[in-house]
Amino acid sequence: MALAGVAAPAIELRALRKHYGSRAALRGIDLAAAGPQILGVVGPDGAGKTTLLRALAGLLEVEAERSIVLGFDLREDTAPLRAKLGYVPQSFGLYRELSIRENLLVTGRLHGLPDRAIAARGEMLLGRTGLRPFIDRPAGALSGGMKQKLAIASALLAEPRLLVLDEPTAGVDIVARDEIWAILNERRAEVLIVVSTSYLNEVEMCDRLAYLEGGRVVAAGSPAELRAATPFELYRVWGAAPRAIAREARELAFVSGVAATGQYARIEVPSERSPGEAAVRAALERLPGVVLAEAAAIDIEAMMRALAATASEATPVGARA
Amino acid sequence: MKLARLLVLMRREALATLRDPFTVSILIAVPLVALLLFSSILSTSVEYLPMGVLDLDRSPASRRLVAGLAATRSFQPIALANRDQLDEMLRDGGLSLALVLPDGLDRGLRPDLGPAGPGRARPQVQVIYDGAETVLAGNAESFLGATMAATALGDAGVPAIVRASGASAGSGSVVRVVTRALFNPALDGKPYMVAGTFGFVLSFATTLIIAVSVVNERAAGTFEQLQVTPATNLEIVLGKVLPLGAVFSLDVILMMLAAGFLWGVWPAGSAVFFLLVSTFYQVVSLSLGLIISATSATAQEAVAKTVLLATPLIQLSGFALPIDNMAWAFRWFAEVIPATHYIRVSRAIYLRGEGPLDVAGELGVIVLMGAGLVALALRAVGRRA
Repeated sequence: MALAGVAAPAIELRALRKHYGSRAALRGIDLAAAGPQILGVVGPDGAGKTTLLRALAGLLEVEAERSIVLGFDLREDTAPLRAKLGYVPQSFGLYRELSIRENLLVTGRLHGLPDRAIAARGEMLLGRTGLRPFIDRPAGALSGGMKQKLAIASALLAEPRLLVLDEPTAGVDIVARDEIWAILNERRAEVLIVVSTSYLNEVEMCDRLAYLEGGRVVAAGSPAELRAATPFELYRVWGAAPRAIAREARELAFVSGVAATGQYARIEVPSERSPGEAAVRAALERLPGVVLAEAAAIDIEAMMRALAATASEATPVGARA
Repeated sequence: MKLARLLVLMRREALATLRDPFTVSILIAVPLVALLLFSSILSTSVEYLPMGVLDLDRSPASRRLVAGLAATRSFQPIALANRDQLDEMLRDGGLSLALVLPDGLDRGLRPDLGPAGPGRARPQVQVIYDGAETVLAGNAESFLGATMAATALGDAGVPAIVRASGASAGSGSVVRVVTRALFNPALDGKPYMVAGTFGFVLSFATTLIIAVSVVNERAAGTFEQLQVTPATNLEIVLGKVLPLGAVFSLDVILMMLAAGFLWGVWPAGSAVFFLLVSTFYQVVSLSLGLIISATSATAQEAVAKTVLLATPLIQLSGFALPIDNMAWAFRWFAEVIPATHYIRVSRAIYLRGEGPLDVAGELGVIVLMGAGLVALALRAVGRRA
């Protein structure tokens, strides 16, 4: 699926498939991306996110009608491609017995960088990640967040054109997560970053999204485009007892999802079932204890729920936009 | 392949290995423990074996033979009064074997009475052993033959017959004693087992450690991380196996020194040649380890596969059991096992002091097998998921 405004794609996949024995992990991925940006790969567990990222990194044997990444074909020898990208796997893959400094030296030297360049770039990256005070600590003795920051620093050391990160903030505390995203944000104008994530706020930070379900990209576009294409209406219903309001709202025929926060109930109405905004608001305001019902802009949570709900139909949301 | 990248990978592997105390202790302890255990427990040495002596001749010749056997410290002669006592003690386990020296032994040996002929039968010494202890008795039999050959009896050409008691006693199988210990006349089992233990360590331990090490790296993600660098698969594999190979070469030296200083077992041939052969043989085992690692998802699976694969192979390689005693199908199968050829070379150098030309045939087989396994290993490791 080509993303809007793409020219001379750094990633161009058409009908990309990957089987593990008889099990199909990717069933025909269509995806294109070009130029520096953050491309988020999202979707439920088992959708094929990790497989897609490993395929992009040239680590898998794949079948495809077209599978070009940085000008290299994934169906052929991917060694030249792998030398040009940075890859951060889901689990820490650097050497636990080696210190931060030694790990960066190994990575830099394997990329053929002179020691002086490794030291200079390493200094900058360690300063940015806050790892400088721990430079001689074995990687195995670092916290989860520090390990991920080291992995990202190592992946960025050789200044790759493509950076692939598989859930880099999974299991990482909120401070480290913000630091990791700050690093990615700094590079979004320079590098094509492909990142998978399960966090809604991180989804919002991506320039573009590819939503996977069952080994296929079922929606792609910018968060705004996908929100606009979301076939849902979202309402906030204010009252003294949001939980009770949410319970009552669930009984309404056109409501598909409810949630209660401390201040209001959040009501989702599929567009196809909606009797219209005025009618929905009127019905909601008739519920006991309701002070006000108002239409709200589709948020990322509603968008993701809508994508999950419509994914089984395998209809590309982006295509409808 | 770039030497600079290979050196980076090798240095990395060496650093990581040296910083892991468990791996270091395994690399040192396994070869030494194997050497000590196998050379002691599986040793085929004959020492102070209880040997009944039924001396029906009671002559200077018979006493000389018994004294000669006792002096070797391999046998502990126990005088028997009669054949019934001999049978009873063999049945009870009080004896491992018994020697029956016939009446007329001394007279039969006297040269002045002329050579043995139709009218004058040569004296026959009878050796009876417990058929349930075939390995031990077999070694004793060989040793006895060798010792007798070195005595006046042997010089006089006294044939000995050996009869198994117990299960096969009824069959009355009679065999000639054949002296086989041309290069190990004392039949000391330690050199034999020391030379064989190199085969065990370099076949089993090497394969196991490389397989587990690579599987662990893959599980930890470090192999995948290396694959997204300019390092080629060949560099990655060599960067892993060369430092480990160097450690195993040091292990060979360590084992040679331990065997030498502990038991006085030094190679009869060139120690340098033995080290070179052993270092090259690791190519075979390391390749096998890489193939196992490429087909194993976890370290447990790699261990299980190595044990399942290596144990029968080592048993059939002649490490502990003589190949000549196996059924013909197993004898043929033993020839396709690399360890068989390495152990032959090892024993040839250690026991017989043979050089490169003497073992060229066996070395050729090892080289061919090594080339095949290296090709398979590179294909297996280089394959993407």
